[in-house]
Amino acid sequence: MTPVTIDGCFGWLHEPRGQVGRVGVLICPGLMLDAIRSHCSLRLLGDQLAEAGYWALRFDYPGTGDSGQEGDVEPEGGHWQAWQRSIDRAADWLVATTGVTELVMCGLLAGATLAALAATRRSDVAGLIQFAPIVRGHSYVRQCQVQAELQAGGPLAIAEQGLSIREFHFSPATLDEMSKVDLRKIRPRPDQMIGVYPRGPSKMLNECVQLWRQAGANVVTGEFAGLEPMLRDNILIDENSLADFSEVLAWLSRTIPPGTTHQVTTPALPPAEVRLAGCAETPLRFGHGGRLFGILCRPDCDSEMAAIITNPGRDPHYGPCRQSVTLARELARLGIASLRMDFAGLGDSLGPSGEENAMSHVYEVDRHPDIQDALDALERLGFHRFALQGLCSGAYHSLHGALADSRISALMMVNLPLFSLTDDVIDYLRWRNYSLRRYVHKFFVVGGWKLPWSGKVDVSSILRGWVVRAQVRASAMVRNFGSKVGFAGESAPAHHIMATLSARGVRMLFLFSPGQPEIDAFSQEFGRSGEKLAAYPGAEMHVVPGMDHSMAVASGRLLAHAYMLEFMAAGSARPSSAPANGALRTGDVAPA
Amino acid sequence: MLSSVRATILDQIKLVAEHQRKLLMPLNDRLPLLDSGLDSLCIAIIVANLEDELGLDPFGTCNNVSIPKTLGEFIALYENGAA
Repeated sequence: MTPVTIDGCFGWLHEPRGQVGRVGVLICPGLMLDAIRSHCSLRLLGDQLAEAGYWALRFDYPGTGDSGQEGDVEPEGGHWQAWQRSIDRAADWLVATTGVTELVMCGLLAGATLAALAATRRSDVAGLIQFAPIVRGHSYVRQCQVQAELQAGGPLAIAEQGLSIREFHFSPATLDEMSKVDLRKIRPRPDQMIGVYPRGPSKMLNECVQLWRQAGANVVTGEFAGLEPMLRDNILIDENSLADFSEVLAWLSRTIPPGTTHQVTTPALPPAEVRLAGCAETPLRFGHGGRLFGILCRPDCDSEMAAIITNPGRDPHYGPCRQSVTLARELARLGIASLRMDFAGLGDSLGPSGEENAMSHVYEVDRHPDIQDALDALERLGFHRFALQGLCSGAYHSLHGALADSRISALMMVNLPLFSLTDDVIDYLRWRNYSLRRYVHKFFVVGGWKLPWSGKVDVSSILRGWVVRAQVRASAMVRNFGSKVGFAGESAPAHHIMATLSARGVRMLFLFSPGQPEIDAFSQEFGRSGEKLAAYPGAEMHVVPGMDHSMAVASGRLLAHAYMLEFMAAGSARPSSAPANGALRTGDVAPA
Repeated sequence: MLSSVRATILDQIKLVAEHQRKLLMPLNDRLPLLDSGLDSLCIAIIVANLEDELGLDPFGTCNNVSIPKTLGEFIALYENGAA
């Protein structure tokens, strides 16, 4: 597969073996969480389509993934129109670049809706693949609205102000336009082949299928069971499988065969690049055989420092709510380059040989080799100073990456859940979001719909997480006692790690969400306010008001980014070997 | 009609909980929604799906609707809308 850019949108072209084939498949991803959860499975779909003889193009709409533009600022005409235009341009590009004569539009959820609309606009679309399509735009808008209102704790003035949810802002006009979409009202061409894969029983979708059949389209419905991994929460630790597209591929090859005798001449593709104000982003493949992938964001000015932004959990390199993209572009404005990378077996990086089609584990895989490969690649590009940034498991891997490689001079860790990994801690992490204390506080003290429904609430998980956390706390108490009586002086992993990094001059920024259980592991070692960090020059800790665990809420995310930018700006002004004095502040004061 | 509204709501709750991998508590009218195992995304999907299935959206059509605390109150809102 080859990274490409199409009018500022980033994408991947999956070439069939021998570069022959008359059919191109355009893969339209879902939005927000749906895009993140399905990223690896759609990569697999692209690969498998190519193996079956199809050209496949997957790409990010404007303001999504690695594409240009920002989601929280609507382009002229609004997001919905921009996304439809981008699909048409991507389809035109696929035809012009590969010489295919027929297209198949394939989409997931809102992407399926956009794909279906494109199929009716174009005369070259022979087929349509619909994964759990959203039949009525109104339903999707309503879902977004209800979720935003539950998280906000009350009604929002959406008709006047539009809707802000996750990385997007939708104007009232855009919401109105999206609400008017109804797939039952579109008429596919009589000769179009359509495969529909409903996720569950749906009266609306049944009506839609009937109406499309009446219009003359050849519509079949298939099972969604094998496709479930596309919509699975990436954090589920024990489930590594990606979606099974065999039924879809079998249907497609029967109905619209790829025509492998159709020889086309593929022009040399120009290097992919997204140009932005003040910086440029290019794909970077590195590591053994180029199996690892990241997006290099370089400021227009000369830069000797690069930050490596790691995967949050098992999410792809752009991160929840595109937070890694935003951070990269903000760093570039400070003159700092960055590489937002995928660890092996996540996002667009391949896992070990034989495990390419599975997601790798969130914690139990040693990520030092991947980080070292990234550092090597950046050094070859001329960078001399390096920082690591991570959220949750990304923070954990960053911490240990810095410990293993002396080239790292700065660390930014958000919601670091632990310093070292034991079996108990793995169990603890599985349920880390579910703090009984947090739940009780929200339920009995805060009350209402606001906060309890703004997070994940699962009673048995809460209880289990509480018990395991108590075990973690107890083991820390025993260790602290041992330390005081002289039996366990230097053995505490957290203090050993901090002492090592601090002595090496590594600057460290710890950011935590207020009330999040992650801070428990930190506070057991360094105090609730991080007062014991003073022993380690160069380390500072802040609690960021309004920041949730995955930085999905915009206000907390913006504040966290402000802390990180201030930290990096301060570090870039002095040599990496000169640590800051043991700065220690709790985070109720926003950086300038 | 009302029994079919109830059945549709319960089916949707079970379906969405399964899709979102939530551990659902035994459903009864006294079950507080906050204890049900559903989060805000689940509820948002359920409300949107119920509008598709039943043609009813009591939260969207009436600004003065009181927020249901229990599953029974949630179902009653829809049953009142269907009546």
